[in-house]
Formats: sequence, C-alpha cells, structure tokens
Amino acid sequence: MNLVPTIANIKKTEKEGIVGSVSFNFDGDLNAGQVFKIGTFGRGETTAWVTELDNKTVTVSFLDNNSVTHKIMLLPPNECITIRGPFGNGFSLLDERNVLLISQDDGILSQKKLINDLLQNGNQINLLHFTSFPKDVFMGSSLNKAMSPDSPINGDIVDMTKKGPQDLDAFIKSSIKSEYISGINTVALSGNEDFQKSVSKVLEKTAIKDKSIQILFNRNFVSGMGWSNKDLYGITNIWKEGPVFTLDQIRRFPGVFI
Amino acid sequence: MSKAKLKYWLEDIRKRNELWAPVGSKGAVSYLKNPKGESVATDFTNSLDCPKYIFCPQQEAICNYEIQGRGKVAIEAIEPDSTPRVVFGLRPPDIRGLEILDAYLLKDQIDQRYEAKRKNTVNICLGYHNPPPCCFAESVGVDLFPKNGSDILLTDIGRSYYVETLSEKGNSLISEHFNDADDIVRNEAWDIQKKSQGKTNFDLNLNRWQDFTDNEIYTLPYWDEIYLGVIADSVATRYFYSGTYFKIVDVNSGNKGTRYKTWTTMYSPGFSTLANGYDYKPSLKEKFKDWILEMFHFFPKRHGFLGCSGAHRCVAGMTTKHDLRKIISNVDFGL
Repeated sequence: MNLVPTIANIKKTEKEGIVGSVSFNFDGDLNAGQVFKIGTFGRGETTAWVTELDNKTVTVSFLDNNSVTHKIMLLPPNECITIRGPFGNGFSLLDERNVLLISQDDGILSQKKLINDLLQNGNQINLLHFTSFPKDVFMGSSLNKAMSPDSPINGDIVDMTKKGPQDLDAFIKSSIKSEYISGINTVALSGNEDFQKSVSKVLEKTAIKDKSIQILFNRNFVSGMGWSNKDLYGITNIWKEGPVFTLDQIRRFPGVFI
Repeated sequence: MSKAKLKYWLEDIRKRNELWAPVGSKGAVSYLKNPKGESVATDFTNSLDCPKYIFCPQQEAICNYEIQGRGKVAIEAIEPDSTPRVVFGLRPPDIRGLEILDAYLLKDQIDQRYEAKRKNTVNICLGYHNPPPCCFAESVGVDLFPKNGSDILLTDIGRSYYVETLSEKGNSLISEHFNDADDIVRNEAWDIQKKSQGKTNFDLNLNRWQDFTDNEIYTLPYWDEIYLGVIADSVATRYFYSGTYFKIVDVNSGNKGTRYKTWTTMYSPGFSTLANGYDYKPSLKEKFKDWILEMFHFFPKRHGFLGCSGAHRCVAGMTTKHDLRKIISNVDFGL
C-alpha cells in the first residue's frame, strides 16, 4: 500500500439533514458495510459508507460534520475528489431468508445498500431503526419509504429520546418486540458499541444463533497502515478481518460483550 | 578495528551512502543524517528518541498534487526512497524496535516506503556493554549483542571494536580499516559479551500471564488503578515502536500541495472518536491498558515475540510516573 489516492469525478452530491452523499464511477462489486476514504486535496480525507451501487456508479454517504465533508458538499458535478478503497468486508446475508436489520442513528448508512440488495433478492425483511434525533432521522426519507404501507418491509423507527432514565438494556429489550424476531434466520446490527451490546443481550436469548448475528464493529479508520490499539481487539484487526463480525467472533474479543 | 580508525571508516561510508549516526553527548543523543565522522557519539547508552524516524519519518510525503482547474488534478506519486543508507550505532533495543516495526508494516498491509528503506539500509549495531540501570532489554528477550536483526555487530573492547559481519549487506562494508582479529581479541570480545549477560534481566513475571485467558487479563481490576499516574502525552509517539499508526495530512500552497503520512498517537484528540461523536475508547485507562496489553500480550500472540524493545525510554521518559517494569511484574491476578 502506498496511500496514493486515485481521482474520481463527482457525478452528483446530495444532502438530507446532516447526511451527505456523493456519487462517482466505480467498477467492481461492493458490499454494504464497506467504506471508502474520500477527500479533497488541501483538506484531507474522511470515511464514507457505501450506500448504493448502480450501473458502475457508487454512492457513498457520511455525516457532513467536518471540514472535508463540508468542502466535498460544496463541489459541483465533474469536480475531483480523492478516493482510496474500498476497505472492509461488509455484510453478507443475502442467502438467508428472513432477515432482521437493526441500526442506530448513522448506523443506517452502513445498512442502506443492504436493504436495497435484500429487497431485490426477495428476502423477507424486518427493520428496526433506533434514532436519537426523532425530528431529523438520518436518511429519514429512505427509511419512511422503506417502511411505508406498500413496502414489503416490516419495520419501525424507535425514538431513543423516550428512553428516559431507564437502563439502555431495558429500553432495547422493550423495543425489540417478539414480532420482529420470530422466524428470523439472521440479523445485521449497526450502531455504537453500547447499543450493540444491549441488542446482543436481547438476541442471545432468542433462537437466533450467534454466528447468524452480523455486527458492524465501527472503528475510526484512518490510514489503514500500521496497527495500533485503536483498531485492534486482542489479536483481531478490525479493518483487516472486519469490520463486520459475527457475534460468536466478537465474544472472543477481550473486554467486549462478555 | 581500532577506535581511532572509526571516523575514517564512517567517512568512507558517508562518501558512498547516506549515513545516519548518533550525535550528541551522553544524555541527549540523536541520530542525524551525514554527520562528520569525528562528531559521532559512541559512549552513549541510548538515544533520546527511538530512531524509527530514519525508516519511517514523522512526516513522509505520499504525493504532490496540483489543482489545474475544474475537474482536473495532477498527481505525482512520490516513489519510495531507495537511497543506499547505513545506520551506525543502533543499540540492541532499537534492533528489536525495527523488528517490531517490520511486524506492523511489512506484514498484511505493506508500507512500500518503509520496505524500500529497510531493504536498502545496512544496520550497524553497537553491542550493549554499558546498558543504563533502568534498561530491561533482556527481560523482553533482547540480546545485548544480537546476532540477528543487524548487519554488523560492534563490540567495544576498550581500545578497539571487535567487528562481526552478520549478513551479505554487512560484508559490503568490510574495509581496509579492519584488521583480522586474533584469538586474544576474539576471546576478549566474547568475554565482554558474556559478562554483560544478565545486566538487564529484570523478572517481569510474564510466565504467569499464560495461565489466563484474554478476557481474564483484559478485565483485571488491576488496570482500573494503574493508569492513574499516566500523563496523556502525544510526544510519546517519539519514544515507542508499538502502537504505531498514521494519519493523512495535506499541506497546501496555492493550487499546489503535498499529501503526507504523519505519526499520531493514542493520546491525540479524536483518536477513537467516530464521526457521530461516539468515543469507543473514551478514557485514559482503556488507552493505557490497551497499549500495555498490545506490547506484552497480544503482539506476542500475533508475532511470537514481545512488542516492547526494553529500551527504557518510557521509564526514563514520558507517559507514566510509574516504572513499566513494576507495572508488568506486579500485575495482580487476584490469586
């Protein structure tokens, strides 16, 4: 790896709330849960999640909350951005029939492509999105469309501000109703670690096997070079073997989900 | 080789190679590029910073760019530096340090710039006949007169150096300044090497760790207290080999600029903060614990040797008021 980026010309940029998206040409296969490092010369790089791949055009999304993303969102079509990647393994659950997708806040960025892929593949989808920003749900329009009455997806958006003083575990447990879990073969889970831990506690009491629960272990991906305790869990490098792991793999990470 | 001839040997090397050698007085020695032969220090115990910057500079240019107009950017990749290079006077802990960097940067994701420098560099190790009192190199498996990892080993025998060439690259530096060693000199050198053994062998009690699982070690209550004396100091990156990682920085001037790979540390702001503000290693406790466990537990599991060079820079230096040797040897397993 020599860290020299390639140049891509922007096809379009879009913004919904704080979530920004940029599209560019890409030839190859991509999975939901993979990331690109995108940037502009002079500002540096930021991490962006693969959210769509259509006819050799990839769309990546990110939270527009730093100087790199602000600059990218100001760029017109045909302007240049730098790209490196894709990095990571991504989710792989197309072979399972009944799928439960659980995400928290910007965790939906890593699952958006998965929803489309599963719909095209004809899987049965249950979808639970937990939001800390009920007035400005990340990718709210896409989620509302996915959960509309004419959509085959059975889903709900859970308002986490209603948690109040109660314990996160108890809140998550009460939010994941049995109708979402019954008959499920596999689960995709994205969110902060506290959230993932609470969800895992609920899932481990169901019939769903640990190895059928895929969890995106988000880490602050920077250069991808050199190893540090930033992206290591014991002997596992998150960005070499992940970031998507099964729950039984994560149980072997020291200090996590014990 | 007579000590008087050292400067001439180094001058010869400097004519054909980029020479890096220690310069300074005892307490403040650093490796500098192309110093004059007579200014090279040989009686120091250890350099202030670890000399990883010779192979992996603090700022290393990746590419130059020029924004030529809308939709047009020219990139000029900066090729890996393959200048013939000789590093004189590396101490044995730093030879181990390079092995640690090799494990990080030459496996899986290969850093091509680091690889080019390693391939084109001859390392001359100055055996450790004078380790400082706080050095614990042998405790972490470092040989004070290492026969592996360097290309030439020098043993100080008072009036001269006993020179051992250990590789093909080392043979290329054999010079007319060397004399064949007779048995007396050879025995004298071996005697010094033998007498030095055990000088830095502090018992770290690492054999106890083998009886516990990763989870058991990671969740010991011991770590909840031991971090309290730690000073979160980003300067630490100059002193350590393990926990090496980088960030990307652009430096602009008008419509031109250069993209760099730079060192950063676990103490840097935003080290473990995601774009959504969630910090997955929020406290100093986790960062310090992970650093120690990476060196003494997980790195050995991955690579078969400890990720610590035993150079004592942390004891003498920056991150903790504690003595790392005591932190490790006194791990309380609650037995």
